Amino acid sequence: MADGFDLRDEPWIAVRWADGGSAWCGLRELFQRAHEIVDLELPVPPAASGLLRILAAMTARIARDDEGVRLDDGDVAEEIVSWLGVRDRVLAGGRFDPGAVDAYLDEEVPAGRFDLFDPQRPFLQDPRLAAECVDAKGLPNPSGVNKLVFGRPTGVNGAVLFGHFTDGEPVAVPAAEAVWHLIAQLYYGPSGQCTPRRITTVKPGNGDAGPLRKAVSYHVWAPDLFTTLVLSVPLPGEGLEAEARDECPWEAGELPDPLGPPQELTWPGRRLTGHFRHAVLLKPSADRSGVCDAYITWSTHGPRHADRDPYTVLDRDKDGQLRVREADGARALWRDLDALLLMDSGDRSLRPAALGDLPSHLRSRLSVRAYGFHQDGQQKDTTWFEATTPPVLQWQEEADPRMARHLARCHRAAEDVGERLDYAARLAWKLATDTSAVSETKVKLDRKKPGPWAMAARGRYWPAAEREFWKMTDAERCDSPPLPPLVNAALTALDEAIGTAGRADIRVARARTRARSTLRALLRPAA
Amino acid sequence: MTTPPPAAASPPLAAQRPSDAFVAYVLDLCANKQAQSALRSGLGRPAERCNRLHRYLVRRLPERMHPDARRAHYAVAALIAARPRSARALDAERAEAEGAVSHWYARANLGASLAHAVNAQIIKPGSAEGDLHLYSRQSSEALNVRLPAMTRHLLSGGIAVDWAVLLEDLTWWDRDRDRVATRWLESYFRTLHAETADDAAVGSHTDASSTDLAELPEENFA
Repeated sequence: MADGFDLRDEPWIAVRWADGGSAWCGLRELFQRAHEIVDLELPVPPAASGLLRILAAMTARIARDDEGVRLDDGDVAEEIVSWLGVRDRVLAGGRFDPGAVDAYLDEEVPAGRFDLFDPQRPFLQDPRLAAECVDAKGLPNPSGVNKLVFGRPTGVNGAVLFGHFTDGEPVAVPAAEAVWHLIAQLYYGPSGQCTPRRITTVKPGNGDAGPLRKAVSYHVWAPDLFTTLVLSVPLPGEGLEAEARDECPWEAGELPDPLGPPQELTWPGRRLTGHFRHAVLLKPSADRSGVCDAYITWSTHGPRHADRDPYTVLDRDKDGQLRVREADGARALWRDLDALLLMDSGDRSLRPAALGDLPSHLRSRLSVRAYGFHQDGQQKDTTWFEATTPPVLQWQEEADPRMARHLARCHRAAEDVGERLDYAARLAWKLATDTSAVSETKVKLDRKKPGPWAMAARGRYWPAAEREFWKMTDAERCDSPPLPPLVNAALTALDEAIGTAGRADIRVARARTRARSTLRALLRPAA
Repeated sequence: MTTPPPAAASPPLAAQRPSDAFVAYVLDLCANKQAQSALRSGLGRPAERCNRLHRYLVRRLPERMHPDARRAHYAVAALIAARPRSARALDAERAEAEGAVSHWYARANLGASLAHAVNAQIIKPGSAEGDLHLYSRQSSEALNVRLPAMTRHLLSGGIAVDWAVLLEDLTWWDRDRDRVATRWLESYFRTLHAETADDAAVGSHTDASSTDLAELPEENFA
């Protein structure tokens, strides 16, 4: 279609080729040349995280081994061993079959489904919104393009800090970038009040958060995108016995019923792309090169699926409930490493399912890519990040139990020292500023008044601890105790935080000595 | 009272530092009663008014010398000469007993000596910290006035003072007071804590030595 934006061939995915060049490509080129691509370079990490799920679902349809057995074949998937065998043969093939890519994109999926502006079935959107999101007079009531694009101020109260966008004067966003934000909205969209959508006589105007809101997801990252995609297809398991046919939103014949019961989760497509709580419709600009307006509202109010996302770490909270590990922009990726390596890191956390059962001959080359979006459960977005580890998966517990436990011990030690440093810095500030606290037998610290040293010390400690941590990953240091270098790093951090200026003061000197001895106490064996 | 300080007052045998050599020279001089009484006359005075000391020290010191360094040398010579009799006997004993030379950075400065005195219950922790607090914000001129009383008190209690360390610290006092004072304070607290309270556990900071710290002089004491 001349006036559409066909995601199969229009360039919209930023990738880096093996020769070092960066370019944008469409879905067809991405799959056909996946073995030549080394990295995804979407500048919006939540969109990259969502896109990887969508691509994994498509991979399950496209990838087939030399005998033509597809990766999403239900019969093969009943036996995990035979499914792993198919995956190994697919990996051995080294690339996607171009014919299979064309067959899926052009024939298996009905025409128009990959068009961003298709009048009947725009990609991942709901065309009914144009008629359902109307105000009392029956005029269209869109949400505005600023609501679609993450990072732009919205509404009348939004702060205009980093971009001068107001709803009164909307600036169109290029179609390629609109796809990123469409994906990011579907996976990470806000909860609470949204544009009302009238289906029956009532007009509910609030919705639930997107399925990945607040989450940080971990993807196995291979040297080329082909391997990455094949390894990101979730292992068959949950959702395999479902009666319904497995369909992704762009494959389904019917649009989902917003008032009906939630759709059954099926493997693999719906498990990856069937959790959406938002419905979006993009309105193209006059020349169809951009998006000038959007409807963003709820898509269902049904109960959430109990299914677990294959790329997130689950932590057990105090009540024993499993919760998805939240993204924290102030926390470095290596601090989650133990949760990625250990099979079930004690009772505290569960490893992402996608990191299990990796082919052993590839392990030494696999890294972990993390995409996180630090936000609250409702409307506030703080920051997003993307991070990649060195090839660490060779140290997974099933491959190298000694190293995995060593690294877990190092990480535990780093966390302990970090906690103690925080305490010591707060104690030092209390002792230095409150003379009556010195004579007390038990110093009471006020959490709300940490003093200026705690944050400064933490800020200096964690980068130093990370350097020490990667030094400890040397296999020869496997048996050396992790605490001494970390305590040294903490002592240095504390000294730098306190600074040299005040140290000639007797109260500071006294407080510093006490704080240092609390840190050193970690080295003493527990009595 | 039985624990001797790790670093002794006597200069190490292989005295390579000029400060050690100077201290050894002054200790030698003090064997002569006349010289000792002459040196002692400079106690607490600025170098310009130490008329009787020039005879012994001028030829020992380089011709061009920073006034700070000169004053420090004169002051330490006077302090050594003014040692009480008991300290002289003790020094002689230690000089014979002392074999190994400890590293320069491990030798006790005045802060450590004060902490030893507190541990030996010669000085109360409150007054020791008060003195340190005061020193750390005074110029060397004011410090020189106060030091004789302090060293006499320490020495008569059997606590050794490392003269060479004191000499170098006084030399740099006006230029780099914060750093030197920091070193004194740190050694003070480290030595104090090493031998008294063992406040290892988090949360329970019982510290026997800091009970009378509430009497600490206020900020504008000096």
